[in-house]
Amino acid sequence: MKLNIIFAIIIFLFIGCGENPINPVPTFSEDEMGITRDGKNILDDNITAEILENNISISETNISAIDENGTLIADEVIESSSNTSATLIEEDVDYINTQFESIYFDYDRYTIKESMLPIVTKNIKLMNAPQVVGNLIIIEGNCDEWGTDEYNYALGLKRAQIIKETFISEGMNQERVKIVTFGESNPICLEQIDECWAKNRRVDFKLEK
Amino acid sequence: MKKLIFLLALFLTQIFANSTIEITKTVNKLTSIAVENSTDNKEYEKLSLDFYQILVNDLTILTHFDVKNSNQKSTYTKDSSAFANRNMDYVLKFKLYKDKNGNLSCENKVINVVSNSVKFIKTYKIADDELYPFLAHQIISDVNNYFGMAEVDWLTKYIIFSRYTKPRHSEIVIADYTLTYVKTLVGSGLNLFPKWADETQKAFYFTRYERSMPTLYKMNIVTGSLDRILQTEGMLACSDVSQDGKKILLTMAPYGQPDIYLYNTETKTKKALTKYSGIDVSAHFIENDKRFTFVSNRLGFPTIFAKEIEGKKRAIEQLVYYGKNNNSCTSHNNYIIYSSRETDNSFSQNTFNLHLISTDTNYVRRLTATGINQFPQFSSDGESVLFIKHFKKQSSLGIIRLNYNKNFLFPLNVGKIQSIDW
Repeated sequence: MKLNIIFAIIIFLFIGCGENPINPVPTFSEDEMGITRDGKNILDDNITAEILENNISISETNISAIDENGTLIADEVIESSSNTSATLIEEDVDYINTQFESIYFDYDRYTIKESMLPIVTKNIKLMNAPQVVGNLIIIEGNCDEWGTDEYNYALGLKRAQIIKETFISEGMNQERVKIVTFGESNPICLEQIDECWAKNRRVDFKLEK
Repeated sequence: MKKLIFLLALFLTQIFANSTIEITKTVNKLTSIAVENSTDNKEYEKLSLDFYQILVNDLTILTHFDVKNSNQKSTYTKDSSAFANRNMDYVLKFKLYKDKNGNLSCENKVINVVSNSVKFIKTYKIADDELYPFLAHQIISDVNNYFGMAEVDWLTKYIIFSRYTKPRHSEIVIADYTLTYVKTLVGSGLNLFPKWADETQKAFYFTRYERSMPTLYKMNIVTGSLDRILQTEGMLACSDVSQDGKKILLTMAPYGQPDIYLYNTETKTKKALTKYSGIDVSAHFIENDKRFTFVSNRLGFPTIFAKEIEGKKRAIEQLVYYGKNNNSCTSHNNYIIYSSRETDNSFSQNTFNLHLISTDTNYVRRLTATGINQFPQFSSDGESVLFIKHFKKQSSLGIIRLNYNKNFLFPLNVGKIQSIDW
């Protein structure tokens, strides 16, 4: 049974650091006999910029399965109690996110390998299912640990960008797609072997909740 | 005539002194010095051992002295020049104690053994015991100045770095250069690319991910204030800050293409400096902020290029013709250090070495020989280089003293470093 879903997501986000000022860094001041550090220890408090999220959403359906063609199947209905609007509940989005397959890349490359094209097609079908066409898609680029800092983050971004361009060429609304790079910060395999590094050179997909 | 030729040769040597020329032999005898620990406060007994070791390490890194490492104990009398090491040129004595306000204090003096006279005496205080490494570094910096050596301000500077704590999480940490003092400044979430905002080290830029949106912040570590500078989809990193602190070089990708941008912190305007369909990253100011170096894969692999910031010249100059993968660099005036992959194997057998070049010459000086050497960073005076070395499953923080052809390594137990600045 399929139902139309109405999504309503309000996100509040702020950084709350102003209430945790860092004590001054002590500075050396020289007197006749020598040097005195004045002030107290610095940096007692970590800046913990917390992100508060508040998703306001009502669920009418619980999506629990995906058929062979990548189409979502809703097999259970949960009636909303006080509102006629509806959305995917968080667990549903989490479940759908597990159905996407990662796209893997060669070392220091951001072109899509031919062997990866069927996976790209499958992911596009899944994203174009009626139940999720209203959800934003985040394409996440990742790298192995080789190379350094900025270059790896840029490489991850280029991998995400080439996938985004492929999606758009297949008819996806570009406003629906966001890209982000996590560089080498998001490994799924930590062993120091080639097979493991190959798993980290990838692009992942997420529906935004 | 011989004198004239000699003076001319001396003059030319000074004029054309170039750090890319490797010093291969040193014939001068170094001044010998020993450190003596005169701490009699039992509360500080263990701390004094660590303090002693930092003093010895700092003196060794100066490379001006032949340092005896024996942890000799001796008594400390304020007006006395008594000492234990008779076969040294100089003795540095220190005594840790608690002053009447409960602050960690240190009296120290330098004794000339030959003349049996006290040459240098100072007293230091510090409010927080944890900051004792900076106290030790300050003492050695002052001793160095007393002997009239070239300044070593970097000894007392903070190092700031980002380290990974778990997937998608990294924290920003400050430390002394030996990583003995380590303090987390920004925790939780993904915090990347810390860069000091100017030479005073009172503020730094960093990138923080906010719901997958990279956001550039400037944090003042004196007041704790946090300014939100920019936010853009894709990627955002502060790569370098101009000498006056008014301009910063960014890697940004507002349209999915990582390019170099110049951001004016006063007018809050930005200008694209490169526009390439591949990867342009890691820009650094050179030649009095008139040009910049950057890493680009426009030849099919990452290597180092340079371009003017202002002016009509749009040409991009390739600076490095050596190495198969040159993906990080640092600069100081006309000098550039880059990390280069030296082997063909993609992974396990690879060696990444650091190389020094000058924009004035074609000479390349290799600074490291083994392991994976990354994150090179010039000191503020340009005479030293900080880097991270991975070799045989051991990570270390390395210091290269360019003018003395010496490398020093400190074992690293702080986790995987994402980016570092000093």
